[in-house]
Amino acid sequence: MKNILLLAMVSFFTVGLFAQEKFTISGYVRSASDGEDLYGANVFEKESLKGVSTNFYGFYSLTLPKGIYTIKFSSIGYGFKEVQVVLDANKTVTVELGATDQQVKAVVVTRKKADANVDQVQTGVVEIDTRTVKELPMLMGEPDVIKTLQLLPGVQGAGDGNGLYVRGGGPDQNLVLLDNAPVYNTGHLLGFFSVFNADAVKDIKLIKGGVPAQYGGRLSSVLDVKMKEGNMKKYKFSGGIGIISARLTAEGPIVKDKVSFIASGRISYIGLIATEVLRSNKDPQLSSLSVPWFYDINAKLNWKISEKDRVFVSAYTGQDIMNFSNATGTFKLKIPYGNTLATLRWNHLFNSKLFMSTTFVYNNYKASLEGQFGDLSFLYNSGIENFSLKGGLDFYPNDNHEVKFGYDYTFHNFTPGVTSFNTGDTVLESDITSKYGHEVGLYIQDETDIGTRVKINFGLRGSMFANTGPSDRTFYKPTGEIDSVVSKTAGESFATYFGIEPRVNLRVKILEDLSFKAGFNLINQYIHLVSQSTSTLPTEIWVPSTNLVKPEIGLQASGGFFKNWFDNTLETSVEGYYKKMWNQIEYGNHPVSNNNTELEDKFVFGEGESYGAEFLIKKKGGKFNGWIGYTLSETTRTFPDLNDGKKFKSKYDRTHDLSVVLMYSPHKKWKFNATFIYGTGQTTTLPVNYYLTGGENPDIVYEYGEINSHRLPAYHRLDLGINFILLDKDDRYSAINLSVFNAYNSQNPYFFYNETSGDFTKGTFKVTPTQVTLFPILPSISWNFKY
Amino acid sequence: MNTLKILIMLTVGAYLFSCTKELQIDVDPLVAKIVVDGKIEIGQMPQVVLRHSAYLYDTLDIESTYIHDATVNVSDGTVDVQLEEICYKLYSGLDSLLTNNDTLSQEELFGLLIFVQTEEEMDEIYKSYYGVSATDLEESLFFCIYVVLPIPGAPTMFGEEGKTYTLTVQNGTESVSAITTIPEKFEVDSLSYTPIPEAPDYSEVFIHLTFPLNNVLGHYIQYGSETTTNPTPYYGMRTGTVYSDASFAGSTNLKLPLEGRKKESEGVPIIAQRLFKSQDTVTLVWKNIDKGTYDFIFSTENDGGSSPFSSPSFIISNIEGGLGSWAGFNVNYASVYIP
Repeated sequence: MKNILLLAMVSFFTVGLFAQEKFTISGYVRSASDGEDLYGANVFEKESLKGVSTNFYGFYSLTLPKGIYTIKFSSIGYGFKEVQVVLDANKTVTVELGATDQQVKAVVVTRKKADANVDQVQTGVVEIDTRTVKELPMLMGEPDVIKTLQLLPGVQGAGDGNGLYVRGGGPDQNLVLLDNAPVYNTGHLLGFFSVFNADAVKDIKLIKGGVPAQYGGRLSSVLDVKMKEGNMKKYKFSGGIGIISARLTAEGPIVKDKVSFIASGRISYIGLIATEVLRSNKDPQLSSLSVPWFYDINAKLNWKISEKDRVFVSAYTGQDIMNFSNATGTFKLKIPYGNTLATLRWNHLFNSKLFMSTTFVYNNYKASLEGQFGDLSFLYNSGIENFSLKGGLDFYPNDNHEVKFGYDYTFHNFTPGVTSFNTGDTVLESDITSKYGHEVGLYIQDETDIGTRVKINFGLRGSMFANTGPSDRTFYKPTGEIDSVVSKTAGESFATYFGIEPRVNLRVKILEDLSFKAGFNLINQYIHLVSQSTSTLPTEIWVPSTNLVKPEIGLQASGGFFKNWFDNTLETSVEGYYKKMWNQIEYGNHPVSNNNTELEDKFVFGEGESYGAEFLIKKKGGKFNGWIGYTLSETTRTFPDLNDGKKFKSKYDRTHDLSVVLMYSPHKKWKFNATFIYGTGQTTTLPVNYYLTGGENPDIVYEYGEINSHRLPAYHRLDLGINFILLDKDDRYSAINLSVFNAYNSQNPYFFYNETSGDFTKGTFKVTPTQVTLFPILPSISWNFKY
Repeated sequence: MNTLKILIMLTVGAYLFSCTKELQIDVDPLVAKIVVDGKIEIGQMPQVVLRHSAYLYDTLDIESTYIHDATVNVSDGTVDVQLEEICYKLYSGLDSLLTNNDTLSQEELFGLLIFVQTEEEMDEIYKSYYGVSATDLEESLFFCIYVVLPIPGAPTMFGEEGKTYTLTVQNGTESVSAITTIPEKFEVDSLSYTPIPEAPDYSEVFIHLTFPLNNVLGHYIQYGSETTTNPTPYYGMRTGTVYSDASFAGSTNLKLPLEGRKKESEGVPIIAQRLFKSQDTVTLVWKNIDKGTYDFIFSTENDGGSSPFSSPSFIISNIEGGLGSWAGFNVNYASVYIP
């Protein structure tokens, strides 16, 4: 075994010595209009089609034998450029790609780029561009990244809400990154809108399966959102205004081609104005009302110190404000929550073969519930705060390998739902104290060609998590008395876990436009969001792995065929996946007690399973384009302490999920869009029987059937949109979007409840199951611009 | 500006619009189980209401859920008593009638009814004491309960602090059993009241408690309120009616708010609808309960249903083989007069 390993290592690093003399072309691919790095741009030699893609920071490195080559650079929406290179030494070639209409059209027929979905090695990867987000029909005129992602196969939402359930995984099993910083709550206004401001976002990439080794810590998917870097060439303003919110973004060079900035703000003005209008009302009941609202601020500074060094500083803060009070002010309720993120990144190019990125991340998610009733006040705080350091190296040792290796370290500070009551001179605080965790990841991965048809990306990630003090762990007797208290000081560990996580992706090109891909990944998840709801609520609690809460482990195997047709203008794919998840966490069957006992004592643990097939037909280019996605899947959970140990459907289970997106541009001034969604009804646990307790004045008590054994009616909705393009020239854009959300006024169930009426004592008591529909037909108008 | 206001209000109103409709449910009923609604208090005899659980989406025929002719026994390890079923008519206005009568408690009425054999005899008693019309009586349902009949020479059982009581029920081939303990007394210090400025005729009432330093001892309580003008105990605190002392860990002196039955009649400000009116005596009903009873009440009070913001609650029961609760109560009272 040792000899085989040695042989492999020697051949890996010395292959260049025995081959023809080779040199490396390296550099960056950027946008000509604003100097932004272009991620995922293709760089390839025109004759042999040998090529690479730019990394997340626009860098590429291509090693070829000595010779004269035509190198072609291309990127979706930016056209292409060809450069003649006499390769007799290592060369640096940085190109800027423009976004003219002709070039964009040309790229559609560029074979290499159009084949990307067939050619790239990863399975389950989808990218969407922000213009699509802005042009599709919208809810209340608000362009929404998450709602657009929900239109893709394998991605589901929670009805009208903004949940992101990927291949049967929960919302906390998605690693959502904004400029490398994890986002712990992706929703505004209780999850109906996403936290991503479409004006400040540059790239949106969702990895549903075959997660590369550089990512870790979440079982189901990675949503990697990259903020714009700021225009290096000229000042630009963009923004938009819709029914509920307005956005404004300014960007430009501080020093041309050297330092740039971008600052973007969004505010849901309608809530703010409505609250002010209500406040001025003479009716005390009306004047005490308040409409929830939110705001977001994104900012980024981009300093190109040299061609080898670059520094980025980015920040995001967003807050939801929900205040309620009565006319006299004796009753008040505030539910503020939001994320604050900051990233400092340094990119350094050691040489044409070695690129380094080092990132420091600060992140803080806080949710509160503040209430006052008379002189009784209460405060509930929960949240998670992180400090992270991440480093990664992209190494291109020869023409056949792209190696990435690196580390990440995160210090977690959890505030798992701390409550205090204050009644006059009495303050009552819960004993649930902060919890701490240290998470470390080390990874290495390599992407290599084996022959002309096979490409493999294999990686290995090692992970470690330690739940440490300073905190106490209280153990209780079954009768409720304290049994013992275990205290740990800072750095002392309650529990430490290690994980080895192999990741493999394989692509076999069967024909030039047909490939088979397969992926396998094993992932450990050390922090968990334990939820009692199907919506993502701000007050839900993130908890660490502890001696009782074991790390979640997820295994996913996926594979599928990818075929392009008609000069690559039609992409088709069918992917299957199987996912097994261990140490899944749920609250027990019973409600969470109001006492101080340790939160984790209320959890139960089990397994999850999901499998399915995803079908996609996507038409690109031309006047008429769009896609149809369909997923057939099943997602189940098995918990010894739930449902009598019997397997039950997960709340994320959707048997059928269909999305149809149609975009028609009969004229460059007009774009018509339609989206249709159909999803099997959400699972629910139904009260089936009832009984009475309470003597002569009884209360009704429900006896529930098996967990999630019933389904609400199917969810289906048609949205329509018209974009009237007022201007689309020279990187200037102005368009009015008219949208009709839920065009045929489908009565989709958001949830149901049992409405009770009548009198027990007279025998007139009645229970009526009642469905609540949230959004009826909702027309909206919005204006988006860039100047 | 007015037009703008109206436009904004209309826009907000339109977007806050949601609608409801009846949902057709097609689900098979669960197997009916024996439901125990039983209690034993200090100084009082055990009482047990026995019903079957029933399908929710039919017409709710509550009278048909009673279990008649069951064999019901309670044992304290030394004495074993058999409970007998009595049934009497409920009248929906009974609570308020009792409230307005200073001389006859519900227990006393119960005493009068205990030997009643026919509906006619029952009517007579109601009419003579409360003037209830025959029509009202006709509309009201029967209420059936198993009690220890005061038969001379038969064994009796009065609840005692610290004692454990075992309930057994046999109904044909069905049987259930349960155990409860009347816990030791954990009393409050006092009640206080504070008038509120917004409604000077109404006061907030607070419960004052003192805990020992090491206070997580496994005490569980349920509390409610009653007043002289409305002596039916009210257990409807919005923050819940049951607590364990672990809820108050770390505190030695505590002040808890007490709420009354919601007064929705006109003229009572919203802020005061759960407060107490002047010139009334407010009594705290403070029940020490065991953990089994606490778990049952807590899980029934916190059933989140099927809303997207919560989860259904599977009720914790101390009834072996059935549903419901067999509860031992150590009930204490504290009062304050609001001038």
